[in-house]
Amino acid sequence: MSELVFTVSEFVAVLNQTLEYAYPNVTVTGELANFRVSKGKWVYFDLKDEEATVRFFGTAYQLPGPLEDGMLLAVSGMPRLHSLYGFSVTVTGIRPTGAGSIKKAAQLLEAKLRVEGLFDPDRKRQLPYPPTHIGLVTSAESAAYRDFIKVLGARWGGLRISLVDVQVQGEAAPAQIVAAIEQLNAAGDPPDVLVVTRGGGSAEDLQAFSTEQVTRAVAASRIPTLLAIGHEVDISLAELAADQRASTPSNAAELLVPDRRAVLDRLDGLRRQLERDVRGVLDVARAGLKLSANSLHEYTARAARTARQNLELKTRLLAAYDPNAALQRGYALVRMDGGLIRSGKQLKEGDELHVSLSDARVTASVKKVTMDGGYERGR
Amino acid sequence: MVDMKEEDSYQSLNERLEFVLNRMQAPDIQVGEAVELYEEGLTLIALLEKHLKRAENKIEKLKSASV
Repeated sequence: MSELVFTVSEFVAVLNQTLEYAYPNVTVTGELANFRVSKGKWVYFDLKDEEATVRFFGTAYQLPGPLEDGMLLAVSGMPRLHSLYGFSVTVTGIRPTGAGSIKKAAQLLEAKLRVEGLFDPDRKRQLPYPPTHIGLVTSAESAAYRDFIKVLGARWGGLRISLVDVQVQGEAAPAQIVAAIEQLNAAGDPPDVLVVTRGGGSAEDLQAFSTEQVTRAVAASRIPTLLAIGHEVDISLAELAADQRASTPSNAAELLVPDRRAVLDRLDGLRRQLERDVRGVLDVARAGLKLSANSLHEYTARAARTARQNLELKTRLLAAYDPNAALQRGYALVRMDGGLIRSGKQLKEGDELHVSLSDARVTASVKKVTMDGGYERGR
Repeated sequence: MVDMKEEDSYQSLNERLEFVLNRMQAPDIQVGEAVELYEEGLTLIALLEKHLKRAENKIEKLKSASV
């Protein structure tokens, strides 16, 4: 067996080729140590167990959220021998592993995002009720999807559902979920509500929904969001960032739309109310009309009464002017040549007078005219 | 009277019905308007019922733009 001799550079190159061929991508689990971020961009850390330590190098963009030494991580990457700095693994993905570390990572991330205001109650928007177009981000193979669609269909119809089928767990899940949320937000006719859901699972299964990228994507959605991840007790960070949270996929459907049976009942009630209302308006109008009719009667009667009284008055007045009545009382009418005599100045001796009494006409002639005031003296 | 049709969305029909019901309660409403609103209300309710009795939801699976 011949001995291989390399220059240093050759050795590094050959070793890297070998590593790339043998381990294009590996995942290493271990405890995080010496974690540091340089210039907000480069990330250096070690993973260790009782016996060994391995160095890792990556970018801040790949972090699932804030990390702390001591957390258990599963880090994927490509093993490399650097020509100056020695052996390290170039990171392609990081996720906390083990319930304790997942929880710890989530707590750190939650604290960071809470400070940023992503979970503020006043950011929460009202969901349209009911919506017409639902954007659905879930796994089309999942029970969560079937439950959601089934409950939705039982309660409400005529909805348009735009489904983006994504992986809801595993390494590819966060990027797919983020892309789906962005895709629906950018759609030409975007949905009026966005539902992101998956069924129950272990803390590890639900991890994608507590990653920083998914949480931020939910918070950034222009379309109002409804999230239902896992069971009632599991609250992911993405759910905290959502406008509304449902306890299960079925519950999401229940919150999203009313039950059509209840609405049909209500419509029946509204129909009766409309009938009552219109009858009410008509009754009021009818009562008003009756009142007007009564007033009209009254006005007419009053006018008739007044007219009658007027007539009586005039009749009496007329009777008072009747010359016959005066003749009856002993007065006489004196005429000459057809005209009434009102003054002695109209007369001279010998004039022929026609005197009317109540029961006779008398022809007389004037013997003498004395202009001395007449009636008062003649008494 | 606004002319609503079956194609109008459930929401717009529902909003119009709310308006009709509110207007019906207005103290200044006249008989002519009330009768018109009543007829419109009945039409709206019938259209809403038609909407509700549609059983199907339409699911379209979007081609994922992601990796």
